[in-house]
Amino acid sequence: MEQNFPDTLPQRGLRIARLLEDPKSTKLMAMGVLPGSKVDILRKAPFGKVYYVKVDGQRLALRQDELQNIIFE
Amino acid sequence: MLTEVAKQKEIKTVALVGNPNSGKTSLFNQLTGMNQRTGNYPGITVAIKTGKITRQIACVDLPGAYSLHATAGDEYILTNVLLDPEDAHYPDLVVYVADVTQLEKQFLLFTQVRDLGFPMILVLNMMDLADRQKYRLNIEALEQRLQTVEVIPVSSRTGAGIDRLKQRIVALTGQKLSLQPPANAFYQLSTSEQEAVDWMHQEFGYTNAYHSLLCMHHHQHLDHHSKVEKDHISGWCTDHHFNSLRSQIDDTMHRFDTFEPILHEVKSKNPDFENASDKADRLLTHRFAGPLFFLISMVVVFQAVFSWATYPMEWIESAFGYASSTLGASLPPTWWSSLLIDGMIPGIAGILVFIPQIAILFFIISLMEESGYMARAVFMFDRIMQRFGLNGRSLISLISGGACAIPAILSTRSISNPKERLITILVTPFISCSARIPVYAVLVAFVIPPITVLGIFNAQGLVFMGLYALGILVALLVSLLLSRTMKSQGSSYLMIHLPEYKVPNLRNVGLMVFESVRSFILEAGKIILFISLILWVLSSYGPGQEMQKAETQATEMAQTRKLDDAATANLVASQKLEASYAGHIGKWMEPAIRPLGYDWKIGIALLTSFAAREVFVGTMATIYSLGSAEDELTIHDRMAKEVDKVTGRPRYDLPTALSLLLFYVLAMQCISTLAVVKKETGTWKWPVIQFTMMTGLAYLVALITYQVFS
Repeated sequence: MEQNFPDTLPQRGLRIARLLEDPKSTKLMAMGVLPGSKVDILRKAPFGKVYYVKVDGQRLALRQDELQNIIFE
Repeated sequence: MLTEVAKQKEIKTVALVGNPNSGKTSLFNQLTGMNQRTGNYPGITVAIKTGKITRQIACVDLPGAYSLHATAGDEYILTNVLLDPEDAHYPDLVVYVADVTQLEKQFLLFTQVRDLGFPMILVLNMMDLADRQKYRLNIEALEQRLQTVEVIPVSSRTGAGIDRLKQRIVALTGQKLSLQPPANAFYQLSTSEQEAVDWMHQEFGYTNAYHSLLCMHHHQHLDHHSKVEKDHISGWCTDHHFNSLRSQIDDTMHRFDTFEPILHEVKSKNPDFENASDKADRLLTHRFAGPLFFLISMVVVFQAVFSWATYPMEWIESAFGYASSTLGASLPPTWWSSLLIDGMIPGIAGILVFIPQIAILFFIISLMEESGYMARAVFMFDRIMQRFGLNGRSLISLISGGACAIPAILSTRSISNPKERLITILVTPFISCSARIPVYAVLVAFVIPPITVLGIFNAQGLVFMGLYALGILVALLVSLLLSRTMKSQGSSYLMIHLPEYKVPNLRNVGLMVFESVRSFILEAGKIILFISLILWVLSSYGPGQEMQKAETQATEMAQTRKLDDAATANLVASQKLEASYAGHIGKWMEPAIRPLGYDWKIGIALLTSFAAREVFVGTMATIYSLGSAEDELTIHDRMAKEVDKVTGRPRYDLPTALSLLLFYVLAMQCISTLAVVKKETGTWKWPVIQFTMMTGLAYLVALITYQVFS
């Protein structure tokens, strides 16, 4: 079942099903966030709305609206 | 420019291309050394830098990007350069720089550039990190799979492999190079894309299919297509229902599908284990411990900037003071010696005295940037900054503004959203910089006596902190206001890499400091010097015979009062200042500043402070006939005795002093900052708006304060 990103953290071993058709997705993909990538959402920033994420072992800081372009398996 | 000339002389251009975190800029420093042309500031490279590898080979550091499908302003620079053979930076050879530990993520752009047919060298950077992470790569196998591309492992941090890279660049550029796409392209054209490519070939004669496709996708942002051509292409896209976004996504996906198996084959394992950086981040980006660590380190950093910089600043000041007095004693008292001693030397000293703070601040900022910590601070505070219409990266600039607004404004180059960057530039000077400290120090004593509050706090210290807090508060409120009123250009992204923590390379840090100081001296220095020369003219000359009259009068006055030589000279200087053009201007502007509680003397100090704030104390010293500005206590005593002729109260009572303090917190009184804002925004519009906004606000607040308290 497709789902949006979850509320409880950390979330490990998520798989990306697809990305929404949006200019933000183009940039996410260029940074290596791709369908099939393994994603760990490790923690929220101290003041919220920004997430510390590992995508295939690579660390990224993503805003909530950026993360919402990603649909997980 | 450089490359245009270069091409005429048959000089080859080598371009460095890669992702923002590939270590491209360090490699550029290693390849070109000191032979660079433009500034090199912490953060993502935004301006195009050129340098020379040898006399025959020019090197261009193109802005970092993740893909040729650009999404933000500065990413289009790369797409523009690589798609336009007429561009001054169009390369003969592309050196593609990739962080070997992130090879999968950094290979997308490589395949795109390769498909454009450029002769290429693939540089695998950060081999030292790869070794430490037990990351193995079969370089020969990779070279075999990539066919015509040479693969060279280097470490731009340690310098390993750089010599070999240089040799290969020299060897390859010595050959006849031509555009040749690989036999097996990394992409596949769909039917509609093939149609688009055929049409572009027919209309513009492009031979490379991928080149055509990219021009089709990004024609609106490509400078080499005219308005008519852009409309022509747009028209075709609409008529043929060409879905550009879909096609870009498919292109990206297909590339990953093609090269991932290749990389999988040549590399030993994916370093997906918890390493030292992950462990450090558990603490350094923790909800509570993270911000706390950040705040504590900021306090330490600021102590360092202030205390370390004091000594070299004093040396510079005393060296110039000595030069002035020695020249003053040995040169004849003519107009040119006065110009030299009272105009040029203080002007140059005014430039050079900033160097220690700028150097130390840049040193610390580049340490933060090089070590990888900066990205973590951006991660932690992005949300707060966003609420005020700024970007996480604005935080760095605002913090730097506490030392000096100039390096702070230069550091906004790393903010990719133009609106967020502009707002950051506009509000950064509200943060109390080090030049305000002497002004605060003199005036705060008139606001509150040095008593102790609540047993431990020094009341004057609290007022000091209050002034800093006011600056921060106003900066944030003005950003909020600006973000609501200004038009948005493009969407705001964070999407930032949190790179591996690493020990900074001191050579790179040193180069950054050197470049920032050099750029400051050359760019801002010219204007500071110019203004100080104008000030010298205004305060050395007066209308008609007034200056001579003032001098005669003052000398007579000194004789009747039986003053010694030093006191006589001071009295003469003070009387002459009143008679000078500056004095006349001060008197002329008095009606405007009277409601704020200031007289013409403060007027002159305000006026001269517009060149630089710390001039205030020096001007006060001259006006109140003091020989030396160094002893703040005597300035204070002399100012305390001054009586307002209109009200009969002390000149510097609470209302006036408080009003003046708030004026200095808020007003834009720094010619060099305005010059840097002009340079960074490319137009006089923004420095003018900034000046009007800040000074208007300062006037208003000072007016209200004086009227309420008096």
